[in-house]
Amino acid sequence: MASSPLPPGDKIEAAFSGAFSKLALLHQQGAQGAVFRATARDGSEVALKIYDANQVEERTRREVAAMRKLTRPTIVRLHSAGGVVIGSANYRYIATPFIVGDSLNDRIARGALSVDSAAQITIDITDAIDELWSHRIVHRDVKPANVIVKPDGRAVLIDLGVARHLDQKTLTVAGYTFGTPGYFAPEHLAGRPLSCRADVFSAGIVFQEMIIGQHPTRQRQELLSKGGLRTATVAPGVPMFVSRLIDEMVAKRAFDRPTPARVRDVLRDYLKMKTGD
Amino acid sequence: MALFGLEGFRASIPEGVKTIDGSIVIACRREFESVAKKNFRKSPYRKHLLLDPQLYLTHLDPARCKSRCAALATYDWFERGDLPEKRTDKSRTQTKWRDKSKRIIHKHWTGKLPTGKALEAAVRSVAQTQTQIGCEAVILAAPLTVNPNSDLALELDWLDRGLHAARRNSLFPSPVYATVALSDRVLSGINPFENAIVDTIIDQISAREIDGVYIVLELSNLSGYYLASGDAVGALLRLVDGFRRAGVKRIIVNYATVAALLAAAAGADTICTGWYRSERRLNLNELPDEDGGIAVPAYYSHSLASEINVGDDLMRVVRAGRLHDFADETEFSAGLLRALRDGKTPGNVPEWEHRKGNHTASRGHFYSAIGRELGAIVGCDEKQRFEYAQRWLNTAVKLADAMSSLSDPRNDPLNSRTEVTHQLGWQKAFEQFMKQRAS
Repeated sequence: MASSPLPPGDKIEAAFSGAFSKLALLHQQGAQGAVFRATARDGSEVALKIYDANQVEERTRREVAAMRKLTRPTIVRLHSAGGVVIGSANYRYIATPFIVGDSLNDRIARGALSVDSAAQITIDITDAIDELWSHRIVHRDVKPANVIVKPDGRAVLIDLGVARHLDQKTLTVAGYTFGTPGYFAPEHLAGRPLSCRADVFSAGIVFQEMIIGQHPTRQRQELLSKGGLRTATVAPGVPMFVSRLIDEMVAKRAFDRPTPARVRDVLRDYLKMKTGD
Repeated sequence: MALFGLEGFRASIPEGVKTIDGSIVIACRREFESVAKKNFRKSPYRKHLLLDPQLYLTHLDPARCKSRCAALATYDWFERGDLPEKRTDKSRTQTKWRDKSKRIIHKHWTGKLPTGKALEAAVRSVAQTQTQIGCEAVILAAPLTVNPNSDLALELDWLDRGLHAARRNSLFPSPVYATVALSDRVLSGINPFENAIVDTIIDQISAREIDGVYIVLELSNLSGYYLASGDAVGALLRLVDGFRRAGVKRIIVNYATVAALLAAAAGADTICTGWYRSERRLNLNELPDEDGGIAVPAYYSHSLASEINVGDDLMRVVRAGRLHDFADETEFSAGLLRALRDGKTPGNVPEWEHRKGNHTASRGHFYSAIGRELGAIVGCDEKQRFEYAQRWLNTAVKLADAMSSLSDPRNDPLNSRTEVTHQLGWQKAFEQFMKQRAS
């Protein structure tokens, strides 16, 4: 079904009848929808994601269902969600608290991060993956664009648009794998059932990207079919302890990867050891 | 490492066997009422007790498998319709009640897995029952995986609900183990080290940070006492090794025949087996009521990785002057070996005489030999365990050849109890496992 382009912001704002105001476009999400910064009726700042209901209703429903369960500060929470008629078309929306900070994508574009900063961000990402997994949800699209780094250096994982609950049938379109090339775990690309370790793989690639300052394979997914590249090769000089952990995170076989909780705990210990806590 | 016997078989573990560390209750072999008896745990073999809930047998045909279904129906996690839960008339003996239950089970047994509220009640009961009878861990129930392309949604639903129930309901938290019940249909003809479903199972279960796994292979194509499929042996090794690498604390293997020793070499902690064929492997086609006849003695030769028929094949070995190659001495077989060396035959040794039902010594010898071998790898590091398995299999393949050469397949074949074809498959599977492991 063809999607209709979103009307101008003022029409959208009118359609919400005061529920959201001061809409400012943050980014367009293809033909499927867009994300706005907005002020909710309760005065809070939100990121308002609007989808064409015909295109992605199932995805929206899943995203909302997933977000309702989440409580940790390392993952985006739900402000509100529902349906709205804009013009004559039906749309779904999801509002999440607006997180002040930089996209990790932008942060990396400015240059490589220190190992310690990257470790702290990875702690937060894996904490979020762990919380998702405790509800048996796999994010399936962990990448720098879906991580917001707050001014205090802590990170929040956002966008559960392609997350999957294990008790739901696979969300697939023939020939298309949801997620982003360059971050897929091998089993994800093969269309197998995923666990939290698929997200750990992606987090490992993101870890490498942070310390190198660019994607380790320039997002060439085919170079990841046997697992990620060895960290010592793409980022010489990284402490052996961290290097080995990243290599485990990007192992070819899912069961050879650590759980997200283990990655988080190991990195926490590493940072504590460094700071002498 | 531990060797567990199976509960519920006619005469399972002979007196004097010292190598059995624990026992596993096989639900289809023992009604709940007898397991729940207070004195059940008095036997030294039951100091360490487990119960296999056997949900994977849900689809048994109650018309063919009356006894098994009647026994399973005494456990609350099976759909039994309005079959009376237990003897309501206390004047009726358990035997009479069992007979009645067998007669009517086909009218009640649905062959379906519980769903909805019944599923919730089932997973609670699985945990409560095992806690109640004093099991050292709770083995969660799992349906049988039969489709190699399955997304495992059903199995994982049972696992997650079971985990939740076991962790919430237990006043005294026990370790919780997942059941991996795989049909050979998901293993046969697929390279075990590239079998996607095997890798997915390892990933999904270990990602749940479970305390242990209980692995059961259902081998309906297997008619002998020894696992013949190299694919199945390879998959078993892959499962054990994968779970070990993924940090699972305890790995238990049941129904893997003597190949369970290879699983132990690959990292399994507990192997379960018995002497009877139906204790060694799970073949759903052989669960119909009466087990296949009355057993005769057979002599386990660990070097051969098989039993040798006592009626005639053992004397072929003696006549060929090869007894020292095949001999396996335990306290149960010492008399037999002495007699053979003195020029006598098994018929001269009453406890080894080839006649129906005369298998106490055979069973004791088998348990002792398996326990001894398991003991040989306790405390070994991985490299030593792998070397042990390789040495064993190299010898077994040579002796299988030698044994074959002592017969004439057309005119004077070996007895079917002397199995000489699986050894090569095991050796190849282990070599492939080692190669994969090193890559």
